Amino acid sequence: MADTPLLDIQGLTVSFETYQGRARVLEGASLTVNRGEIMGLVGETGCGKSVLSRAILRIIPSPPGHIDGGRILFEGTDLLALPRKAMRKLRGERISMIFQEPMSSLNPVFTVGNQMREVVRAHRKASRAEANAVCLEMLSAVRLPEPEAVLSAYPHELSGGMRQRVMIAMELTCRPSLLLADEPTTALDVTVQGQILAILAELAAAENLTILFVTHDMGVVAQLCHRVAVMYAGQVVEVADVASLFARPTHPYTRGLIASIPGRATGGELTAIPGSVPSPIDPPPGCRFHTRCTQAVTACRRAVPEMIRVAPDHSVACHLCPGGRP
Amino acid sequence: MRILAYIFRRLLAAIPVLVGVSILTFLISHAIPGDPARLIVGPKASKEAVESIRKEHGLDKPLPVQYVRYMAGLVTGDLGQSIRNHRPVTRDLADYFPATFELTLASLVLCLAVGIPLGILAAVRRNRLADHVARVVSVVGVSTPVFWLGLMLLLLFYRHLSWLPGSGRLDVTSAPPADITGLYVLDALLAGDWALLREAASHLILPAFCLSYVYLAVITRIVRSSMIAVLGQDYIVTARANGLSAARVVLKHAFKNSLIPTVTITGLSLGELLGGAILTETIFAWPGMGKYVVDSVNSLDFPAIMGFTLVASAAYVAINLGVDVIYAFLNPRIRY
Ligand SMILES: Nc1ncnc2c1ncn2[C@@H]1O[C@H](COP(=O)(O)OP(=O)(O)O)[C@@H](O)[C@H]1O
Ligand SMILES: [Mg+2]
Repeated sequence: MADTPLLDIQGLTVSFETYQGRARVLEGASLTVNRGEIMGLVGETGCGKSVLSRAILRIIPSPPGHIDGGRILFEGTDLLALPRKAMRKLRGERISMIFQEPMSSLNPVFTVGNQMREVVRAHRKASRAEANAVCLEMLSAVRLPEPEAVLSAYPHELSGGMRQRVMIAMELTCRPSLLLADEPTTALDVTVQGQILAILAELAAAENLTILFVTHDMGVVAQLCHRVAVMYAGQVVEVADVASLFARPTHPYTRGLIASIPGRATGGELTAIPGSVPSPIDPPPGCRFHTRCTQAVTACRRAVPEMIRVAPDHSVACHLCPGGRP
Repeated sequence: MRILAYIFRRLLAAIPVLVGVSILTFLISHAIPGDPARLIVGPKASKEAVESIRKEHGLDKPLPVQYVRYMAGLVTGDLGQSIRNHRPVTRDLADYFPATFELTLASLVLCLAVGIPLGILAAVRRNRLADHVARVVSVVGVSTPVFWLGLMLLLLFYRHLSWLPGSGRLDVTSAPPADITGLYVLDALLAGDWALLREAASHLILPAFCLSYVYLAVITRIVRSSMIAVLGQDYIVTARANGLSAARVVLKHAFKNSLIPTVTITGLSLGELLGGAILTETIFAWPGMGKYVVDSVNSLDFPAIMGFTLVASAAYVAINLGVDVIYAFLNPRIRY
């Protein structure tokens, strides 16, 4: 049991009905997250990171969204097969989520205390005072000064950084084992971003919390994560521990991403990947990246590459990598 | 406490508004050609008789003097005497206002009790059956003329089915309940007179439904659209991700936010309900202010017209204040 991953996503396929047609936003995305690690999930805007993390909680708006296939094993149970009620019980208690916009992810017409206590009491019997005590403890844990004052404040009375800490505190009140963090620092300025990352790293270590950290910022990945998965157009194309990913990026897309980090590009030049993400309504056949790949060969246009392990903790889905079919 | 200070400030600010309304009404009603004294004594009366009536009501004085006298009376709660029936206007208003108030209130309760759940249901089950029903109700509501609806209701429920009475607040043979609030339904309830309560309520249903129908449509639409907007907000995703039940997400998190625009529209509609009552009262022979003011205008009964206008304006001001206070309670971002 100990070495089964906490979260094991296999072949997840999600589509949205749109006016232009059916958008296959995730197509066979696979990903495993081990207990206690901080797993980064990176990729350009629109590649399906948010959809993937919301699919885990089954909170994709439906219609128009629909989970067409795949498995999401959490501690060995397939979440997609779980009855509604059991799924609801899991949300906020075993798996929590924080979002990009701290300005809008708290309800503006209720106090912080009201919203936090509600989460506590949705999952266990607790008096108001007991719930309050849990909330105060969590608010201190995210290093908010004057937790009592925060508890009776309305969201608009707090700064963006404070709200994001409140969100973190709220999501951890039930001591979940998995925290999905969907770009939680993207909307914050750099110093606040640093503080939030520090808090998350500290909590992850202290509470044995596993985090799936979604970001499009490679710098944040390097700073925070243990392992990282790279997504492109609805598929996971490379997974590795952070050190090997930065040392030996293998997928051409990953190489492009790393080359476009400011200050990293050799020769001081920032090399953005040419072209743009293909439309999920009419995705290219074969490897979805071949339309932008400078090294693409015939096989890339024909067959979807499979994940191949190239090192102990390094897999990649590319026809060109050593061991793949060229 | 801050809210009390705010209410007090707003009440003070209402005084100049009401003074302005009184001046305007005074000028307009006196600018209408016609001589109320002549209307009272009839076309064949002598000049002297007309003069004496004019003197009796102070109509021989210049306008500014008449206005100042009127306002002086107003301060002491005296709205003058009706030219038409020689009763104090305050007495007339006390008789007729509760009937209109009861009708308006019943319509409002109907609007909200049906419109809010229907709007919520339509938003949550968008493009499904409940939504289509709500849409039909709304379209029919805004496109049906009130007088036609009233007549159809009478035809069906009174004439053909005989389920409900067609006019008045009570059967002609019944005595009204002891006057506590002036609202018969409430007074009968307070007196514990169930038969009378039934009677008063059955008289109220048709006119209240008729009056509420248009605003029911409006409120349903507003609740639906504000609910849809709110349900797309990030904090709703948060609430769902936190494992709250669908009922809690919709009825607590979404509903309170969607109430903010709904309250605004309800306040505006309530003012219009008061106005719309005039037509409805005529159709259902409801003895309220609507009928009273129509009669007053026809006989150029200045004090009565003034009294009605002032009461209606005060009601409007009060409704607006009420809306702002509720607004402040709903929306913590409002400073007052
Ligand atoms: N509710 C929706 N309806 C239609 N398309 C959607 C919806 N949500 C997301 N998508 C599409 O899914 C794709 C991935 O979106 P998302 O997961 O938000 O990307 P990101 O990686 O930036 O988080 C985008 O092409 C987006 O247009
Ligand atoms: Mg996103």
